[in-house]
Amino acid sequence: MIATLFVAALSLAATAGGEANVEPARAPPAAADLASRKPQLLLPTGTSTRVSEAHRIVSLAPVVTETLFLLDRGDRVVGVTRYCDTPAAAQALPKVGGYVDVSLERVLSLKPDLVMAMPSLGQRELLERLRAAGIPVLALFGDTLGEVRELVRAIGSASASAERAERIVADLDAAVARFASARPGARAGRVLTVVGVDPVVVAGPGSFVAEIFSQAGVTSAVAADAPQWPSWSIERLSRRHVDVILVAAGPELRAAVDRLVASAFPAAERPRVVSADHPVLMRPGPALGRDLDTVLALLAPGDGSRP
Amino acid sequence: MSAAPLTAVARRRALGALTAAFLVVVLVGVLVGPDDVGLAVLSEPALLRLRLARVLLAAVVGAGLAATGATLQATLRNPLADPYVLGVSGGAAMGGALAVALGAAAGLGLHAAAAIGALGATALLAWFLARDRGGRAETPLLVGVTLNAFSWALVSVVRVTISAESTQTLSIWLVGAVGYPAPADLAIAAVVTAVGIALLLSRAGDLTLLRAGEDEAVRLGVDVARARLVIYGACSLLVGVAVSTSGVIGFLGLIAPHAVRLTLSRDERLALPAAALVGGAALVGFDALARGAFALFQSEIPTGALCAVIGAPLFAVGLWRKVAGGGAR
Repeated sequence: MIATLFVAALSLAATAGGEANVEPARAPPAAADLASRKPQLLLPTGTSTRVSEAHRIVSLAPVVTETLFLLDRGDRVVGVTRYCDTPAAAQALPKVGGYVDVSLERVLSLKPDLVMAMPSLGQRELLERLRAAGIPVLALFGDTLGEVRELVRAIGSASASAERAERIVADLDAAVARFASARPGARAGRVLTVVGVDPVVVAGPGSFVAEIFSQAGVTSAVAADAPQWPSWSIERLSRRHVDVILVAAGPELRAAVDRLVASAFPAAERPRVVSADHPVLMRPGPALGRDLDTVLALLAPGDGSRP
Repeated sequence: MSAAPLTAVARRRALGALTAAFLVVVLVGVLVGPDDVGLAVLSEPALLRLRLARVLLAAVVGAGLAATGATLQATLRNPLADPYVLGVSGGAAMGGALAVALGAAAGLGLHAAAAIGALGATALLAWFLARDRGGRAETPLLVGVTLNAFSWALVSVVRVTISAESTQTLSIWLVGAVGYPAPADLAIAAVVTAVGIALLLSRAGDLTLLRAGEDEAVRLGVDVARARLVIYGACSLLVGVAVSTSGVIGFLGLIAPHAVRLTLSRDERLALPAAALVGGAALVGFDALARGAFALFQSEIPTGALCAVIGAPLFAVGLWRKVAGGGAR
C-alpha cells in the first residue's frame, strides 16, 4: 500500500524548488478541490502507510509519460494510455485504455503505487474511483506555461528526480525566451494556429499557444474575447484577416487546411499555410521547447508554405 | 407458447431454474476481466470488490430494463414497446444531460434528473395514449420517435455548450457504459430497481388481463387507471435509475421479454420476473464481453454499444422469421 509520505517528500521537494507545486489532499476530489488547477496528490481515504517515492507509476496522459521518460524514470512506468506514443519505448508498455475509457481493473492489476492523471482529459470521476480503490493519484494540469512548469516539477518530486525536473523547466524557459527574443511576430503578421479541422478548431486567447505567441509579439488572428479553443466555420475564417496559418496538428491535416483556405479566400488574399513534418504545439509539455524552435523556422517569411 | 395461466407450482419451478441460471451467469461474469478469465480475481480483494460492484450493477440495470420492456409490451399490447423505442430512455438521458449542463449532477442529482426525464416522457406517452380512442398500434411508436428526436436534439445542444471535458464524459455515459459504481450509487440502483420490479409484480395479474384488451380487463375487475398509474410510475423509476447509472442501453428491454414469451410463457406472473432475470443475466454477459474485449481493442467497448451490435441483428433475425412465417405471431 501506499503513500502519505508522498506528502512529506513532495513538500520537501517543493520547498527545495522554491515553489509549492503539490498540494496533498485528503478530502474527496470534488470539483472545487481541483479548481485551483495546482498539482494535487489525492490520497486514498484512510491511508496511513508512508513511502517516499513512486516506483510503479501508471500514466494516464501522453505528456505525463513523455515527462517521466525525460526524467529518466521510464523504468518506473508500468502502464500508459494507448495515446502515449512518445518516446517509442512507451509504446511497448501495457495499455490501460484511452482518456475517458480507462479500464479501472487494468490499472489495478498493474499494482501501481501512484497514478498520474489529468482531470482536464475527462478523468475526474476516475480519480475518485482510484482513490476509493486505494490508489493515490497525482492530479496534474497543463494548459498554460505556468501549469506545464508545475506539472514537470510535480512529476519530478513524485519520482525522486526533482533536480532533473528543474533542469527541464529551465530548458523550457530558455526555449520560450529564445523564441520571444527572435520576435517572429514582427515578420509573420496575423497568425492563426489550427489544431483541428472538421470542425476547424483554433488556438484562442488563454491557450498556452496564445501565451507563448503573446510573449513573442506574434499577433493572433483570433479575437481577444474568443473562447480558449474556438471552433470556426469556413465563413468566419473567410472574413478574418489572416496572414499565416500554422497547421499545428501536423502533416496529416495539411491537405485539408489547404483545401479550406482555397475555399475560404480568393487567390490574391490567401494566407500562407505552414506546417512541420510532425505535430507542433499540440501537447503542452517539456517538448514545447523543441516545438518552438520548429515554429520559429516556420514563421520566417517564405518558409514552410507550399506552392 | 400458451397464454393460459400456469399453476403456482409450475411458475415456482420455472423461476427457480431461471434464478439458478442467473446466479451462474453472475458468477461467471465476476470471473471475466480485461486481462484474464479465471479465479485470480478472488485473491485480490480490491479488484474483487470493484468487479462485484460492476457485475451487480449490470444485473440490476438489465433486470430493470427488461422488466420495463415486458411491462410496456403487455400494457400497450405492442411487441415493439421498449423504454428505448418509446423515448423513455431518451427522456432520462435528456434529464441527465441537463443536470450535467446545470452543474446539478452531483450526489443524487443525476439519478433524480434522469428519473424526472423518464417520468416526463412516460407522462407524455400516457397522455397521448389516453386520447387515442382507436388504440392504434403506431401511436406509441410515433410518440417514441418524436420524444427521441426531441430528447437527442436537446442532448446535442447540451453537448456543444458544455466544457470539452464534460462532453467526453457525457458521450461515454450516453452510449451506455456500466462502469464501476460507488457503493452509494449501487445501493440506490438496487433499492429503486427492487421497489420498481416489486410494484410491477404486484400488477402482474392485471398485466396478463390487459394483454387481452382494456375492455376485457375492466370487465374482469381491473382498475385500469390505477394499474396504469402504478405501472408507468414504476417504469419511470426503473428507466431513470438505469440511465443515470449506466447511460442509454437499447434493445435489452425489447429482446429479453420476447425471448421469455417465445420460449417460456405469456403469463405475465411468470413472464415479468423471468424477463427481469433474463435481462439481468444478459447485461451481465454483455458487460463481461465488453471487459474481455479490452485485450482486443486496448479499450473497453461501451456495454450499450455491444448490446446494440449484438441485439439489433438478433432482433432482425426474429423479425425476418416472423415476416417469412406470414406474421403468425
